[in-house]
Amino acid sequence: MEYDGITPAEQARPELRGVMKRFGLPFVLLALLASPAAAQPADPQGELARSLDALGRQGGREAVQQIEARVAQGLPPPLLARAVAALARIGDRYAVSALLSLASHRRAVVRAQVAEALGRSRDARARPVLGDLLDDPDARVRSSAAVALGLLGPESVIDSLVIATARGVSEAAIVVGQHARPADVPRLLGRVDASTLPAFAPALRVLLERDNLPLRSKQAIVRALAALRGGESEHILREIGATLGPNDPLRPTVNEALEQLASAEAAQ
Amino acid sequence: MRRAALAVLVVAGCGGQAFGPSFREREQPEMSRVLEAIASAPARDDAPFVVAVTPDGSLIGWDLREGRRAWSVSAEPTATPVLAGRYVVATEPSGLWVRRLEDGERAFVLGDPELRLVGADAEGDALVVSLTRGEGESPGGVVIGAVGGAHRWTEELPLPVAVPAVAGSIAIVPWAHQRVSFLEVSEGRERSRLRLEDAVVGHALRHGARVLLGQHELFAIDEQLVEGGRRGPRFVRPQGRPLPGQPPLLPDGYERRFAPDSARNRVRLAWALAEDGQSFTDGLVYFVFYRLVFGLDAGADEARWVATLPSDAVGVAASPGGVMVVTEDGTARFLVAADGREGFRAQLGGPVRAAEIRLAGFAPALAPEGEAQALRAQLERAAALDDARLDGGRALAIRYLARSAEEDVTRNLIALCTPQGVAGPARRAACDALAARENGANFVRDALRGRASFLEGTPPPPVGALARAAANMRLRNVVPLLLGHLDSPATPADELPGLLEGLGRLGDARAARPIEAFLRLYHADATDAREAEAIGAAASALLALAPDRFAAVQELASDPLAPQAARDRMSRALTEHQAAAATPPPEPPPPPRRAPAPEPATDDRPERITSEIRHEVLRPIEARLRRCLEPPGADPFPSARVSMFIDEEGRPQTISVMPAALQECIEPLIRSRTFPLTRRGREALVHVIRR
Repeated sequence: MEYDGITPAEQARPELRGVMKRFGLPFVLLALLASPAAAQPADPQGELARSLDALGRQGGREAVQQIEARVAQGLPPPLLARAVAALARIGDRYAVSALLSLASHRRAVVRAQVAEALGRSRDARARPVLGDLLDDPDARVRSSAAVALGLLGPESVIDSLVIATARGVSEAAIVVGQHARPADVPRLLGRVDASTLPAFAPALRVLLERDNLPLRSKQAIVRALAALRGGESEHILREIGATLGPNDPLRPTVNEALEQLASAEAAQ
Repeated sequence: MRRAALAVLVVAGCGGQAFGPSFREREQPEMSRVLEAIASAPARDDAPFVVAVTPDGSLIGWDLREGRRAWSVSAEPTATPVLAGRYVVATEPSGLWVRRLEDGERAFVLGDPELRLVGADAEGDALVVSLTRGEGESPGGVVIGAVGGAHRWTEELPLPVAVPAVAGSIAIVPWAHQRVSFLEVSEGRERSRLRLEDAVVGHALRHGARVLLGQHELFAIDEQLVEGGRRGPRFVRPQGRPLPGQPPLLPDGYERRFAPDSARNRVRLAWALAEDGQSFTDGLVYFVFYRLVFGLDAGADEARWVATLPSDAVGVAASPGGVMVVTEDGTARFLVAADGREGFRAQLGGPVRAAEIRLAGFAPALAPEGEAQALRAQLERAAALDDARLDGGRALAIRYLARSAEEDVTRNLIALCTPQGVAGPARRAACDALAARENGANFVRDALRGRASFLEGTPPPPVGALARAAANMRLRNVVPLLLGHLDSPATPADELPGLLEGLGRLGDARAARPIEAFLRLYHADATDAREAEAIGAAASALLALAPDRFAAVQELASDPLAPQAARDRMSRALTEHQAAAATPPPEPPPPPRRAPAPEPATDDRPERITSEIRHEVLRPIEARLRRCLEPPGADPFPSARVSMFIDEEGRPQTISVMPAALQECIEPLIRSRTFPLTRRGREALVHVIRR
């Protein structure tokens, strides 16, 4: 067992040294974390921070339980951030459970940090919670949740990501572009109109550049853009056209769409 | 050219005949003769007229009787004009301009750019105008008299003069806050003088055969006044009530006439006195707040109706049967006293910035449009207006709306209390009223089922006020919904104290554990005042629901990791809980009422007069107060201490000044001010004046 994380605490509180030698690190941490109004060390915040870091390095169910218990006792914002970081570092299923319970913490910074940690955990249990966080009142949390869903795979919450895209969550647009399946495309296009096109444009660009999206889905996107008849849709089509090879099967559809836009403009 | 013309000033009969320091007050038999002259003055025969200032600065005259524009002249009015008998009086950058009402043309000009208009009145050919000179800290008063459209005399005095009246051949001029001089209007000679010992006089006005005086109230010059110099108990004043902007019964009679664009043209009271001079016609005073006109009961804090205008009111005058309002779109409307419906309309021919209206008995043929709307519908319409400037007026409408015990008013209040951007007085009034509701449980429950959603664009329900209302209604079945909102990060911190208070009052012990978990989780995380307040509320709610958790709250209140504000707030909750526990239990509560109780009025009055409010109220006289510290011919005083009681109407009473030598100078100035009404009612204040 590594004791390096406790060294400053030992220096600050020599009486802990004997305890640690006798009972080991967990016992010492337990003593430190037990109660908010327990015997006060000289630098309670510093010691707690070091303890939390040590638990994060230690990992395991017991460490997670201790962190969770200490969070429930109330921590000031910097220490809470340390606690979430420790849980993220542990990253096992117990840590994910603890992180999920913090996804509704009142402080937005905490929720954003939790969303990032859940994304990295690759734990499928996090998906619905991250889907809920797309609806968070705070923009930072929504962005973090979208990015996390990109890491985790957004299968069951793609519709929420599409709505978040329409509401201007730009990270959600990228994730939608990367992960939407052919079956999702018609629903996505159903939400694209002149007013939402700027928000959906990143998603559509990514979709059209994807190798694993069937031609018919891409053609549907191109036709939908042509039907919108605006500068933004023409701009996207020209961008796409410029990236396609001469024999790309999508090229005729893009050319046709651009011609359609040009003739519509001439008619006006 | 015009400047050259203005340079020819008429200066006649200057000084020495009035406002002297040694005049014998209330001297008989002259005082009686003067009053007889006033009583026997012929009735006025003024033309009903509107004079308005247009956006380009022109003056237009509108003849109400003939329903046509009588004239339009180029002008640069710096004050809202005064309609005085056959004249229109206004100041312009070049000085005082007196125009004939019949054609708007110049009668005479005093080319003194330092003159500022205070007030004017005229009868027949006789005109008297009160002015101040300059912008200085302590402007002196100037009174001028004119006969037949020609300036006759000028009196200057080192003390301020107020809004005068003319009755027959007598000019009645209030001055120095408590003095009233009676002058022969043709020559400016002072014939008699009164000094009021118990009232401020900022206005004199002729009303039938009487002359009324006053500032905060109006009273007739009668025997008691002449003999004792006291106003006595017979005066008229509408019921006091909190109004946005708190406009006075009469504008401060000693302040210069407000500019055409001043908000005072748009936020004000209007009223007409009944013949006896002791009551208001139709029992109403009219409160204008930009686009809203309230018909308020003069004798009770009640609204009879509220009319919503298409644009801001910039001029208003009341008469028996209703109120004439000129709006900035250039429309004159007569709103019927009975229900606020529009009974008459005239187009002045273009937008206007300000209008002065003299109804003078004008009674338009009334043809009110459409069906009279119920008061509740009128109030709902006013309350729902989407105009940030009207927030104070909306709050007033909400205050009256909330008095309805109808259940679906609760639904209206929920909608008005739901956060929609920055919270202003209207939302606060709605939330206060909602928190006090005692019926409409279904609406409260439904609203608590709602949730904030960014994706759906729905705001969070106003859970603080809803929880308080639920507690009034004893809706224990909403406790799970309330706990859901307590857990939700979408619940704004501002809502948490109300939410927790409601949970505490509902008395469902099942809520104790979640509240304690909340308190533990966030007690060290409350980094701003709102969060600390929520922590305190959580501690209070927990102690109410589970008194045995006292030690647990004590432990959290001593947690060094918790911010000091949160610790203080938890300690306060503990102290309050202990104090409540030590208080003997109250008498058993009365059985529940069968009928819903009338809703308590929302109250947007401040709790007390703070030092900020005191300074704000006294600011207009600050310079004059400082001048009092420098009595002529004596050493200046470094400071003075003024002790006073503010009565329930906001008027300073029992004013005591130290050093006493300054009492005479300071007291009338303080008496001229009105403080806003507060929840505390009567208050003692101390104000220190320093040089």
